[in-house]
Amino acid sequence: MNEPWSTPLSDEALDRELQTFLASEAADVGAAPTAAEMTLRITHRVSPGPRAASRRTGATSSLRMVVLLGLLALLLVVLAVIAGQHRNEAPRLLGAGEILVEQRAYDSTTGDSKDAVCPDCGYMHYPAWSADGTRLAYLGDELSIVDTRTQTIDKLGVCRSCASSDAGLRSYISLAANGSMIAYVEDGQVQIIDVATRAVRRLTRLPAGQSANGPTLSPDGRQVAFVISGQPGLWVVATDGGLPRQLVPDDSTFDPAWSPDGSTIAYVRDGDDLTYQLWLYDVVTGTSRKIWQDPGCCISDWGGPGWSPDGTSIAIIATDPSHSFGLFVVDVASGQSRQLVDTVAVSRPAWRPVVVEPRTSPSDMAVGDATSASPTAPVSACGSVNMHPESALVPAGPWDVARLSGGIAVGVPDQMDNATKVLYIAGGQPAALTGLALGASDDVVVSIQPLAATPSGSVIVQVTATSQRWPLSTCSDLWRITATDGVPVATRLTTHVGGQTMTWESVSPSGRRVAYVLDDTTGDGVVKHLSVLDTSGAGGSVAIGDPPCASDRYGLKVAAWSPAEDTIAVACTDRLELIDVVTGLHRELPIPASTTISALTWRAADGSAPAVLLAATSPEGVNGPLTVAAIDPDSGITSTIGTWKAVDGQPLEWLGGMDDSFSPDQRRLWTLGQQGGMTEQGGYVIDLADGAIKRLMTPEERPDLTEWIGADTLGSGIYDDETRTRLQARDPASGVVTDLASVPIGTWKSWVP
Amino acid sequence: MAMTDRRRSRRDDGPGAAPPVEIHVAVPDALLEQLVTEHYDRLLRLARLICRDASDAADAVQTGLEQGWRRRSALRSDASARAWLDRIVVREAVRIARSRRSWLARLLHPSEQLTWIEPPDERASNGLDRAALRTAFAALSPEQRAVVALHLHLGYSVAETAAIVGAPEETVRSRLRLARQRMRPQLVEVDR
Repeated sequence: MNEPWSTPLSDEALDRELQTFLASEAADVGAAPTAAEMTLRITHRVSPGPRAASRRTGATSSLRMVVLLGLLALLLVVLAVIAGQHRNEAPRLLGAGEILVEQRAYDSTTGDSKDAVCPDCGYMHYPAWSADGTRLAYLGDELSIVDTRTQTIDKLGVCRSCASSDAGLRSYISLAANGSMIAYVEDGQVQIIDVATRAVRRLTRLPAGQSANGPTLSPDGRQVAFVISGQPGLWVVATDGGLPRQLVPDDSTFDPAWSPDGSTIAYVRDGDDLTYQLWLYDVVTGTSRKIWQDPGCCISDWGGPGWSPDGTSIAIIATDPSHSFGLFVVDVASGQSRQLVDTVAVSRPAWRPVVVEPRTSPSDMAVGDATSASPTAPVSACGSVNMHPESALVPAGPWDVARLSGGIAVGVPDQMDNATKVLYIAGGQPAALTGLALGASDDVVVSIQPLAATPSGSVIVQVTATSQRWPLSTCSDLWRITATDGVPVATRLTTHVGGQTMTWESVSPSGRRVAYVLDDTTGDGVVKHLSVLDTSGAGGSVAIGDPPCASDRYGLKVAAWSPAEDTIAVACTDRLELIDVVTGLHRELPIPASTTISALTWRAADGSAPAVLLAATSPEGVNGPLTVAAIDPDSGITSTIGTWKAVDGQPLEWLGGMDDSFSPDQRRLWTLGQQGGMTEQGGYVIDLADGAIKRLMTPEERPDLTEWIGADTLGSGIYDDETRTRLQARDPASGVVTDLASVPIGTWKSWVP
Repeated sequence: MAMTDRRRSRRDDGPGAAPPVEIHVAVPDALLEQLVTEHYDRLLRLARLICRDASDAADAVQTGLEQGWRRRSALRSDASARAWLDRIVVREAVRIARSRRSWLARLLHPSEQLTWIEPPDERASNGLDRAALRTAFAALSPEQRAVVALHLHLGYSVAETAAIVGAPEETVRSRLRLARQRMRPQLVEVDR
């Protein structure tokens, strides 16, 4: 297409031509369903995907199958040959530790990854480690640096527009080996900032229309290598001043990266064959050589390169043969590579040096009376130093309620104190509030979440301790807290160690048993199993088998214990399981395909055998009624109790599927619905005896923060004014509201929905 | 039910919804009809650009609209609904397109669009080889096509495009720049 008399298009003209082309391409939609057909497909839940396949003719499929089988046989032969060759040519991969690509850290050996390396840092562009791995520079809303030892983030006040301006396009940053200065590009010019003094120096004065890119500091901090948009070559400038000089004259050079020993600069070149190539420039001899090119083709982006701390390997993001963006590790000596992971963000990999640092244990966690000056003697929880780095912060709130005899306990996260407080509201009297808190140290944030009350009046809570030191670590345990005469006594019920966290838990109605799923990351990978705990302390915790809904894409939705507390019914996305809590055996109850169960409970129907009571949405997909039915757990026979879709003869736009719950006395179902616009939701109560349904709460009354807090009482929290939140009890029959307590929200930030 | 159960059930919007005991004949919901009427054409064109296949595009749009309807309570305004649906459909379209891109996948899922011998299309600009353009456009990655379609076809800004595809703005700019670089040889301006 490039004829001698043609001239290049400007970007604007190119975009105009592309827009015309795109408009014509987009209009050529082929044999697509009409809007009306699409509506019916969605309503009838016609599965996408198989539809297209089903259109194909049998003859085509047969021919394709023959061809496919032949190709598969050929493929097996080829694979066997390749495998034989590769056994002797396994790449030598040195260097260890994690490779950070934007927010995600990849194990440089296994490729295992984890998120949230620094949850408080915001989104991290172009992270760069210091040589000792204790400092991490990155580009967020401004240039910042984290000291991983003190967990402090230092925002440097420069490069505030770098992440969003054209001048910052693909402009990586570079942290000096000793962490003292950062090179970056702002307004198209290479700049360096002294981290301690924040003194900024501009190193280049490129003319308008030119922009520096990808600066990389030499390990001794004396030079910065970079490229110039629109200019060929690799350039270098001294950090103490002077004119830039060209190191490499070649065209299409990008993203230089200085090796840890300072002898080499790796950079990327645009290959003639639409691939990207990795080159090394020898600083001493002034020569360059190509060591690698991406194995994919015809896809146009890359990230990197990033050196391993020992300088033997280079991490680079490039395309693989399947045209994914993969993270590759290239051995510098041999040029051989291996693909570590197959789908990553496109950025410069930052290889963190291996750092030996003490990991903290939340063993200094204390349980005590929040009102007393000093907590009671510290009690060890998750008291192992073997904290596994694979962890996640466990969110608490907005508020968690456990029913107690004569009162309720409310867990309120207090971010000001890095702790969670449990407020025990006795007898429904605000004046009877009793503080109970789990304290925290600077290194450990502790949250507690009330789960349920035992018949003896104590509260079962889940205690989660998260180390705030690098790397983050989490463990969780179950505790029993007894509040007698205002004196809290805490007993640890499980003895998990760091890296063992609970991902689901359900307390039996009597509080005698707790079933929970434990994610154990202390060994290789993550092992999940279902455990059952005897809260009396007699039987301890026993692992009984696979977790519920283990194979379900969306996981467990709701669960309910049988009256005898020997079986749990759990609803997965589209099936109902019964789990024997003694043997761990799972049994599936038949329900129609694609049924979505939104609430479960057990009841003894007329004194006969218990039945599983369920609420489900919706008969024909997205706009059907809410159905309540009972299933005999032995026979699987289902009987419908009722279906609802209208109130006072007026149809609801939708009903159920979110926050549905049966009242503890099983007389009513609490659910959400909508009538009159997308934002007009309401809280609805269905009387299961007479089938009456009524709207009980408006959106302003926060039906989304409402649940059953008594046998036939709903509780919710609403703003009183800007400083306080009211906890309210509501009679579902009369709608009468009673204030339980008024809680100041100024100190409890997480209360804010 | 413990509070943790409640929160997770609120989060888990899994697929599926059929009656446990009865089957009713569906009557399309007015809101769903409105959603489809307002957004279907745009979403289909968007998905078509990314998938390069009409069937795959329709599948991506169906998934997007279905998710949009199921999470209707999160849609606060038409503006947010539009960007939100675009995001879902783009991600689904990219996912489908990626799964279709290997030669083995294409063998299993032949595309009706892989016929390049076509009569000239008058909608294309004069002087442009539309077949070559299509080849060049198809050679872009699904992620690049998504960025090009959102920015140049639907008119989203770079920042908005970045938010929709879930990538940093630099990545979006880079994809745009490199897509232009790839398409430029097919779009020559002839001195007349």
